[in-house]
Amino acid sequence: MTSSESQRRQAAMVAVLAGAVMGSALLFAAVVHARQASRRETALRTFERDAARLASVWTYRAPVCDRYRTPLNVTVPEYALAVDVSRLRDIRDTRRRTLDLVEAEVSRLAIELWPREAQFRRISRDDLEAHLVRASPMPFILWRNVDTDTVQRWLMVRDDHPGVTLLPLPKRVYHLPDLAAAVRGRTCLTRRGAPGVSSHCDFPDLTMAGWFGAEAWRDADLSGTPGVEQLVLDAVLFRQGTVRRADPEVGEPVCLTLDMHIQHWAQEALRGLRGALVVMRTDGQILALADSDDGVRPTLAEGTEAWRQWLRGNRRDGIHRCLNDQTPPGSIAKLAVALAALDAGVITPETRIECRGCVPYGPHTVIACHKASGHGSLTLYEALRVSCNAYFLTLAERVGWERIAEMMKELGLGQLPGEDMDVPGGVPSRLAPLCSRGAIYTPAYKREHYETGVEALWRPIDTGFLAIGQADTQVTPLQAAVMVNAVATGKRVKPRLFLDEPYAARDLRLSVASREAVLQGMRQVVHHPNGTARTARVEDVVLASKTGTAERGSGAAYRKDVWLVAIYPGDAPAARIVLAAMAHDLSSGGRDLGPRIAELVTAIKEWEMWTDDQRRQWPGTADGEAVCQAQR
Amino acid sequence: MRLLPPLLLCLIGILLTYGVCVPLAGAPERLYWRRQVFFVILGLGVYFVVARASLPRRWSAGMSAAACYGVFCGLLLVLVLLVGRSTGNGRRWLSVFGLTTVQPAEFAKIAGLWALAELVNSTSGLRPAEALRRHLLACVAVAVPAALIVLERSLGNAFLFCAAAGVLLVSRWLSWQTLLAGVLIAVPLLLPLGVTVHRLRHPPLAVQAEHLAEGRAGIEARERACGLSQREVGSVLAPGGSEGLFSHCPARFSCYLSREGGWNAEQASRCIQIGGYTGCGYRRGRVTILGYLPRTVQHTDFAYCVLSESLGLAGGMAALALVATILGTILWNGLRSASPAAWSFATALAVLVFLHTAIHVGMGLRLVPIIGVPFPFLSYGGSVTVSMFAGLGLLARYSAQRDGIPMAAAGKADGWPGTPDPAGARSYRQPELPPIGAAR
Ligand SMILES: [Zn+2]
Repeated sequence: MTSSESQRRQAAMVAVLAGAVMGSALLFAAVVHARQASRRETALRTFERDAARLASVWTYRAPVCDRYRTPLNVTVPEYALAVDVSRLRDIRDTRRRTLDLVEAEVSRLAIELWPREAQFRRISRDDLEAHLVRASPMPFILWRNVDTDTVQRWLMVRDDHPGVTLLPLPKRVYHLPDLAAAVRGRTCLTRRGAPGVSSHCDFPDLTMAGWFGAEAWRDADLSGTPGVEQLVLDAVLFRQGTVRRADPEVGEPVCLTLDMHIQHWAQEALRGLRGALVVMRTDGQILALADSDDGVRPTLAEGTEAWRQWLRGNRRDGIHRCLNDQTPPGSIAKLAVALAALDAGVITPETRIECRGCVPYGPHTVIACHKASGHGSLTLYEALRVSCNAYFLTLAERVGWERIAEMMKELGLGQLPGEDMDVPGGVPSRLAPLCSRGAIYTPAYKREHYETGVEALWRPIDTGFLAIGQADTQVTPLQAAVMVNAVATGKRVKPRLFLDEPYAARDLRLSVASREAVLQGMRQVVHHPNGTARTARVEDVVLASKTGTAERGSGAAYRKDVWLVAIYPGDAPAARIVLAAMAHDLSSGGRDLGPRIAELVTAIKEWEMWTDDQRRQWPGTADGEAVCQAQR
Repeated sequence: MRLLPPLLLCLIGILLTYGVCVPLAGAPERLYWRRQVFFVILGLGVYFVVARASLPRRWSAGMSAAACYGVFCGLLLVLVLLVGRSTGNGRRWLSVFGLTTVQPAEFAKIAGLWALAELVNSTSGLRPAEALRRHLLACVAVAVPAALIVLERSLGNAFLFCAAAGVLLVSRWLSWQTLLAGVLIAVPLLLPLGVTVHRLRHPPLAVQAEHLAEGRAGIEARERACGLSQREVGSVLAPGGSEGLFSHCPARFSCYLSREGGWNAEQASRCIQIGGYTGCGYRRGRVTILGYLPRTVQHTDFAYCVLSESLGLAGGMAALALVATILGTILWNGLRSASPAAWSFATALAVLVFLHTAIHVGMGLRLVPIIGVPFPFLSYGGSVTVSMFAGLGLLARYSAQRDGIPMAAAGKADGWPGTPDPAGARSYRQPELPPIGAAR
């Protein structure tokens, strides 16, 4: 009895002891649990960060328009086949197994879609792996630009390939693919994120971006703001929902100041040459910006790597001949010399200077006039008309390089668009970052660019080179247009390629008399029987012009670059349009460019009488539509 | 009435399992919750069979225990090693007609404890030498199934069984005063160990900075600060090297020691933290729903975390309170019973349930390494649910015997081989054997 009693006592105490130990342990667990539960906010924040990712939402890219706000392009879908990895993989799959799975699926599909020839792009395992490492819920694009036949074949087998989707990607097609191609530019597809979407852990969308030309220059305006979606992903990256969504903002259309007719004629004028042509209104709006590479279309299949290479090489990544091709101005620099001399009162237009065929600069050094026998005694009008070197060399000696260089700068040479306007600090121009600055040949320039010593000294002959636009003075066609516009209007305008840019100009305070004198000479260049640009004469049109020829290289590499600038019409107050044409490797501006400019001016004269509706009708619309169809 | 807490836990468990098995986009629907309902019903059936089934008069409790021990701790454990299905690291599943799988180790724990309780309490009225032989036999009876379970590489189960059996034996051998003294001495001794582990896992800020700055070198610096290296820890934990039975231990242990921990541990503690005090709501816990806590273990090894994420601290405490109620009921039932075997078995069963709960909760709270132990009645799992119900059933059977159903001669003939007949026992009559510890 007592033993049973003691046994019971033992058991009871053991039970109490065990209960106490267990109870305190559970209490301890409860305390630890409570402490961890108090960290809820931090844990929630980190979990949000891990489970919720941002993804960009595709937005509509606004069109590029001409000056009548007519879109130059349409956006059409291009089909791509993509694989959705998260629908193929199993929860427990390792990355390696997933890779094998996807690879097998892709090759199965490839064989079904292209049974005979292996014309499909091989998908590299590294690309696939990179996609998996990025842990993206976005589909992995296998083949882009899939043709309609293949799409039809895919539609027949798509039930066998649940993880593969047909993805429409945006593609830009231009109505007038050949016109202003270089300045209008092109787009390409890139992965780009919305603001705040970092590319390493979030998901930028495959979207159109400017590649070169205006598409690239005004990319921010055109593309708008992509939307953002905050996705909730499960552990295998399947989309489980959207927490919030900021809708994309559509881009703003960008209107160029180009007129497609004038652009068309300008390109026609350059056909067969290697050069550039600017047609600008006197208020600075550019009507045509022709590069001789415009309209040259590759014979390669679009979308291939070779095609891409060609475009990139051909367009020199955004370099445009009108804006970036820096060439010595040759005789068109004489306009600046004449203005400087008249402005300083060194001569009057009637002052006569003798041409003996050359001007000596030392015992063995002369600069020849192109008429070896000499032009005889010349007034300013006559000198401009025949572009006499000796006259302007002698004049330059009297005026001095300082005044000439100063005048050239005032006329816009060696300057970027919008620089040094009446507004302090200049007027920002959208074109400025794209243009080359050019250069004016001055002692400072020489010191900077030549070896020290004798080479770097400024000699009298250098003043001569400056005056006739040889040596290192460099001018782009756009600068030439601005210069000749200044002669016509007395104002240096800011050239504008986009409609939304305001007018800006600098009043050069040139006397009307001196401008009129130079213009008189320029009119004679066209209308006098001896004028260097007499080939550019057009019925019923008063045209003021100046030709130029610059030499470069020597021996076998000797080349001439030719210039022709023109003011239409040539009477100062009525001047509405200026033209500047430049071509490489020709012999004479008047002979080679004159007839082409005449044709262009004839067309412009007709164009001026059109109504706006007529101008809106694109040149060769039927052809453009056909090309557009072909591109689709 | 005493089934109410376990059944409540089971209900919560079924709801949780249903909650995590909801088909999501991309994930196939899994019907675990239906199977769990079946398992609970099966468990209840086993409970009533074990509690009420009447055996032939000559068939004593000891004999039943011995038979069960033979089947579950011997036959099935050997069978599983021979024809078991290997999953992950270990071979611990037996396929039943291809319908479901059974983990014999779970049943072996209950059967082993029962047999042990019967064995060590059959010594009343025996000579000291004979009693000592019984106790030695008991030790062997613990060692054999434990070794077999270790061979299955189910270290968690082996540990749980050994711990419960150890408490059973020790509580039989030592007087309660000694036990109390032991606990009072052990607590201050265990404190430094706990502090060391805590320091290893939460190194001072300076060491953390070093760790961040130097990577691998920083880990070594931390080890130096604590006076032991991972390699030494590994060599202690995995004597067999990378090919041995314990090859997976060092990795798990270093995972446990490192602050970052493994993926599962991190997500589990994330569940607990995000649950907060009141939880995110049923089926609204995003760590669970989105599968960050892997869907394969949500309803088994991390059921408590899922519960905590849904219902927060409140839900977790409710579950713990239910477990405490179960523990109390088990201990109370054991005490009310007249048979010493019932007391021992109740203690061992309580320790087993407690350790299951404590380790399961500890895994979620990152207090113990991840060793995959289910929460009794709450976690999904046929074997553990049925075996736990069987344990409760055994206890109910003991109580019923006290309540009047004739016992198979408690303290008289208990059917163990070598037991002398009651008459012989009486002839050796001595003062009832005090517990061994008390004798000293
Ligand atoms: Zn001459």
